[in-house]
Amino acid sequence: MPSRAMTELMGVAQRCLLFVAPLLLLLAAWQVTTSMGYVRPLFLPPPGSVAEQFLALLQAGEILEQLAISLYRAFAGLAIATAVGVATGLMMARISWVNWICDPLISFVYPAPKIVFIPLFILYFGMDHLSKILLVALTCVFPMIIATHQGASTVSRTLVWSAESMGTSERRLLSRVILPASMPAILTGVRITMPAALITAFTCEMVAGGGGLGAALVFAQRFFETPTVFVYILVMLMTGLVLDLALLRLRNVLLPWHEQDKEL
Amino acid sequence: MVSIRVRGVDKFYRARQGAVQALAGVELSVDSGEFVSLVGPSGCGKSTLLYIIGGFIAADCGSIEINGREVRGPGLDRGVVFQEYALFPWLTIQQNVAYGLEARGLSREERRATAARFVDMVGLQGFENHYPRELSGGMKQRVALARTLAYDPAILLLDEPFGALDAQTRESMQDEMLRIWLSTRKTVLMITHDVTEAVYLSQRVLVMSGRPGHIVEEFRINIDRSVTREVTMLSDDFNRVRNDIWLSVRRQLAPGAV
Repeated sequence: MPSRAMTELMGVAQRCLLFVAPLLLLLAAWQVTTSMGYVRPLFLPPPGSVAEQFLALLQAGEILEQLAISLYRAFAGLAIATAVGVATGLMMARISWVNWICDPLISFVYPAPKIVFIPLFILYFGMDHLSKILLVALTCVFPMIIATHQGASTVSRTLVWSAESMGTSERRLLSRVILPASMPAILTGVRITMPAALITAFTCEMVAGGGGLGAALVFAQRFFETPTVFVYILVMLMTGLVLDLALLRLRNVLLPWHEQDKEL
Repeated sequence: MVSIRVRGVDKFYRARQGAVQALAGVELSVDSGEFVSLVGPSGCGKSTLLYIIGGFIAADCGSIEINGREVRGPGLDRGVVFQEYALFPWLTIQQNVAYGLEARGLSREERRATAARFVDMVGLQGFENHYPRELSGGMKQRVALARTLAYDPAILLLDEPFGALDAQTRESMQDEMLRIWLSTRKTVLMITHDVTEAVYLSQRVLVMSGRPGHIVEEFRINIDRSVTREVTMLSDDFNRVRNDIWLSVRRQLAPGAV
């Protein structure tokens, strides 16, 4: 009879295996395809040469340097979007005229691809960090407004009434009740918006240059260094995955009072 | 002395098919230190009436006075306990109970001490640092009661406070409520659909009609509160008035049927 801890450990191992197995299968297929010579290495280099290039670039400090630039842009943009989005979403939920003004604007702009503003943003804000950060912010601010508004407008009325009957003024209600009650929705908003921040940062870099993973990828492609292109693509994929897991952890730390999500 | 006075209150709700009248000419008054219950069929507007007295929603017509002063909004003189507890889920039990003490102007240390005293009073010592989600329904309702009693409002407005609890927990909460009322003698207006609960706790029970709601009948309950629950519930006096009120509520459900 295995102990409870043992059973739990086995469960975790099983889930990890289930998660990793398809990836290993993909890797094996990749290896077979290249070693059998079905495709030219220019189109699909073997996994070994990609791994080799990865280590070389890592040792040269190239990967971390480009990663740091991209993350700075993505996070700065996401931070601005979160600050503006939370403030706007809260006001929309509590002040009806703010909602009347913002709601149609958001419905109009939210579904539009913000990436088309790259040329204009370069023109206005230059080739460096600022234009990219602001475009990330523009992309992310709408989902953040919507997430916050949704959270803040569904706060139970008895919660608001309880606070009011215990002497909380309308102005203090926002910070004492509406904001904390909206935190789960806001953090979910950050989590689902984060990939958009990365995508926008990478895309800006690919189009406009100025360093970062996206620019490094396009630069390598220009010289037909396919293994390097693959290295940067893989780094981008891993960045998204790691950040998503980190945000999930952060949520459990920040919201110990909330029913935990069961995912992963 | 009259503590709560409601005069000619009408309330309409906007619905898809025009306005729905929830309350029609409600008249009631509760004396200071009196325990009054309001029973009636579902949807008769009794919770609406409580929210109007609480100052959370406005009446369309009529007036509400608390100790002779017109109600213009919520106030610390009226403490409310809701059926769904309405605890702040991001605050610990201690912090929830201390919430209303801030507006009372107590220092940090006084707030802590007072909250601890009321957590003890409802028998939740040891749970001070738990979050509401870690507590059972009965425990949450104890916290809600402690939170309201802690800042010492003169009037308690209870909106089906034990309606979400299982039968055993409900009875023990009723006993606790009775004990608290006997020792504090606060003015209490309780909404309930449980006639037995109303008779067990109240000095007066008001029966509301179906929608649009108004008070149709009033029962004075004269039972000895110093005896045990078993003695009370098995007594003829208790059961006679309980049956009368039950029949009165039934008549509101299906006029002419009983």
